[in-house]
Amino acid sequence: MIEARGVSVRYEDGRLALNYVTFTVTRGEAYCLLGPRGAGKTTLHNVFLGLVTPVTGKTLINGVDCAAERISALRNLAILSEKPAVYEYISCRANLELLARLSGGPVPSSQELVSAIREVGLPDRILGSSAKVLSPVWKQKLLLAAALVRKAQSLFLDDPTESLDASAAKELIQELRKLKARGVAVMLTTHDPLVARELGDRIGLLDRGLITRELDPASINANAFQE
Amino acid sequence: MVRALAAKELREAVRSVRFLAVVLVSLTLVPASVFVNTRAYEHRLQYHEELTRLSRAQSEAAGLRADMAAEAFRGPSVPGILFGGAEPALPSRIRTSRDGLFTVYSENRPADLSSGSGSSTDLAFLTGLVLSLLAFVFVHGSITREKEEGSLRLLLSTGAPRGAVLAGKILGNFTAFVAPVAIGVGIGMAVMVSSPAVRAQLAGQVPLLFALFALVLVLLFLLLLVGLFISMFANRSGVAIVLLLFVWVLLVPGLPLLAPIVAEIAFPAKPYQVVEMEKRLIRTSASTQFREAVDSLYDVIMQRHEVDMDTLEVFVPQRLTGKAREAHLEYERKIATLEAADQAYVHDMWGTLDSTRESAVRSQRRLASFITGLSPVGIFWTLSATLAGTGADEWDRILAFARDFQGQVTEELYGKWLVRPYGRNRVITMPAAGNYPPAVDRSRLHAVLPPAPMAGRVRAGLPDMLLLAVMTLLAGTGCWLKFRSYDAR
Repeated sequence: MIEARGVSVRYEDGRLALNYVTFTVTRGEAYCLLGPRGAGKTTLHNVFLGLVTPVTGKTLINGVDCAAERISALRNLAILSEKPAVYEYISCRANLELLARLSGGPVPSSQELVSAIREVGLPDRILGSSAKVLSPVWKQKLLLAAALVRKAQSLFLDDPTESLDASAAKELIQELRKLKARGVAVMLTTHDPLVARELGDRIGLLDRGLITRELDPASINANAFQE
Repeated sequence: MVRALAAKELREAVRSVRFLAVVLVSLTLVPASVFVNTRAYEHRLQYHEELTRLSRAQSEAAGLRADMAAEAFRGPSVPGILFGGAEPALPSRIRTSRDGLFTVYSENRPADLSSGSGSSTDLAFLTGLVLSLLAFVFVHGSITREKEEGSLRLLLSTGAPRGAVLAGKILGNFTAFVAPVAIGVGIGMAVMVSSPAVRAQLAGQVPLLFALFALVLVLLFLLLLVGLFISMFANRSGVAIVLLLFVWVLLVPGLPLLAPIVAEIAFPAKPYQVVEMEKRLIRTSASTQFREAVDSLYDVIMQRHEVDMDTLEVFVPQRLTGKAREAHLEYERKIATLEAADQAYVHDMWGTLDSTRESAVRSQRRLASFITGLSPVGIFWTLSATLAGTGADEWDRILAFARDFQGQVTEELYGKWLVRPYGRNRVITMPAAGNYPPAVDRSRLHAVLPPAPMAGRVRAGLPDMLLLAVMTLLAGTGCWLKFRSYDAR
C-alpha cells in the first residue's frame, strides 16, 4: 500500500512544490497523478524515495514511514523513470543482480532471472549482453524484470513512456497492467492523459503541487488535460 | 552490498576512456621515467665513486700543502630515482679552503627547494601532476553522471544505505584507479632493481620504497575523495569537470608554485651563492687591509731593529740570531694579534651574513610550507622528498656536514700550518707548533656524507603525515555529509 498524508514541499525560493497532497493506493490498484511539467510529479516521487524532505506530512509504503525508516520502506519498491536508468556498462544479468542485492535480497538464481526476463517479454539472450544495446522499451522492461526479481509490492512510475514511441509505450503499458494484476500497488505520474486512462484505476489532477480533483479514467479523452 | 556496488563501479570504470588514460600513463610513463632515472643514477653513482677515489688518492699522496683543498662527497640516493625532490640542486661535492670558505657543487641546475616539486620527471612528479589530474577526471562523473542519467535515483530507490552506496563508489573507483598504477610502479621497481648499481645500494631501502609507494596510494585515495566531494556540488558532469579543473589548477601547480614566490616576497633572502660571494669579498677586502697593516708593521719593526730581512737568501726563522731574531720574535708576537683581530672581524661579518640569511630562509620555509600545506599534492611532494632524503632539509644537513668537514680539515691541516707574509715579497709557511712537517691524519682530509638516518627522516616528515591523514579524514567526512544530505530538489 502507498500512502501520502498531507505532504507539502517548498522550493528554496519559498514556492510550494507540493501542497498538502493526500492519497492512498491499495494492492493491485493503480493511482495516477496527471499534471503538466512543473506540477510537482517528480518531487512527489522524490519525497517517497527520501530524496526530498517535506515540510509537512508523511509518506508511507506498506505502512512504513519513508522518512523514519527509509531503508525498510524502500525494500519492496521499484521505480521506472522517464529516462530508462539502467547501468549500461554492465550486463543485464549484472543489473538485475545488483538491484536485487542493493534492496537487501539474496543474489537471485539464474532460473529466477530467466523467469523474470521471460515474464516481461524479453528474450533470454539479453541476460549476457550489455544493457547499452537495449532499446528504451527493453530497458524499461529490464527494470520491470528487476521489480519481479525483487518481488516488489509497490511500483512508482514517473512518466515511464516519455522516451518511448507509441507502440513501445503500448507494449510497456501491457506489461505494467500484468504487474498490477499480480497485486502490485502502482503510483503513476504522467502528463499524458492517454497513459493515465490506459493504466490508472483512479486519476488525480495535479496542478502546481495541489490535487485539484479526482477523475474517473473512463471520463478522460485525449483533450481532458487541456480542459 | 558494498562489494556489489564496488564491483559495478569497477566494471563501469574499466570500460571507460578515463581508465585507458590511467593505464597508458601508468604502464608507459611510470616505467619509462624510472628507466631514465635509473640510468641517470648509474652515471651519477659512477661519477661519485670515481671522484671519491681520486680525492682519496690525492689526499693520501705525498706532498701535503698548507693551502690544499680537501673534498667531501654526497652520493646519489636510491629513493631519489623515484622521488627526486630537490636532488638535482643538492650539492654532491664540497671543497674546503684555507680561508675557511668551503664551496659546494651541484650536478644540475637548481630546483625549487620550497615546493619540493623538483625538476625531474619521476614518480613524484607523475603522481603529483599527471595522476592527480587523472584522479579528478576519474571520479568527476561518478555521482554527477548518475544524477544526469537518473540512475542515482534508481540506486537510492532500492533502499541501499547511502553510506554503503558511497563506500562502494569510493572502493570501486579507487581499485580501478590504483590497479594500473600499482602495476606500473611494480614494473618500474623491477626496472630499477635490474640495475646492479641500484641492487648494490638497496640494502635497508626496501621498506622505505614500500612506504613511499603507500604514500602515493594515500595521496591518490585523498585526491579521489576530494574529486568526489567537489563533483557532488554539481548536477552536471560538465560543470563538475570545470569545477575540478579549477581546484586542480589551484592545488597542484598553483599553491606549490606560488608558495616560494610569496615566501620570497614576504621574507627576502639573498641566494646562497650571493652570500658566498659576499663572504669572499669580505675576505678579500680584510686580507688587503691585513696585508697593508702587516707590511707597515714589518717596516716599523725592521727599521727599529735595523734589520733588512729581504736581503736574506734563505729565511729560516729558527736559525736567526741577534737583532734579526729579536725583530722576528717581536714581529711574530704582533702579527699574531693582528691575525686574531682579522679572523675575528671576518668571522663576525660572515656570521652576520649567515644568520641574516638563515633567519630569512627559516621564515621563508615556514611560510612556504604553510602555503604548500594547503595542497595535498604540495604536502606529498614535500613529504616524499623528506622521506627519500632529497628534500629541502637535506640541503641543511649537507651544509652542516660541510661546516663540520671544513672544521675538521682546518683542525687537521690548515691549523697546523702558519702562512705568514714576511716582507713585501715573501710568504713563509711553517708549522704552528712542533716539528716540520706537522703530523697530519690524512684520512680526515676526505669524507663521504652518509644517508640521513631513517628515524630522523620519519620524524621530520611526521607533521606532513599527520596533515595528510587529517585531510583524508576531512575529505571522507565531507563526502559522507554531502552525500547523506543529498536532496534532489
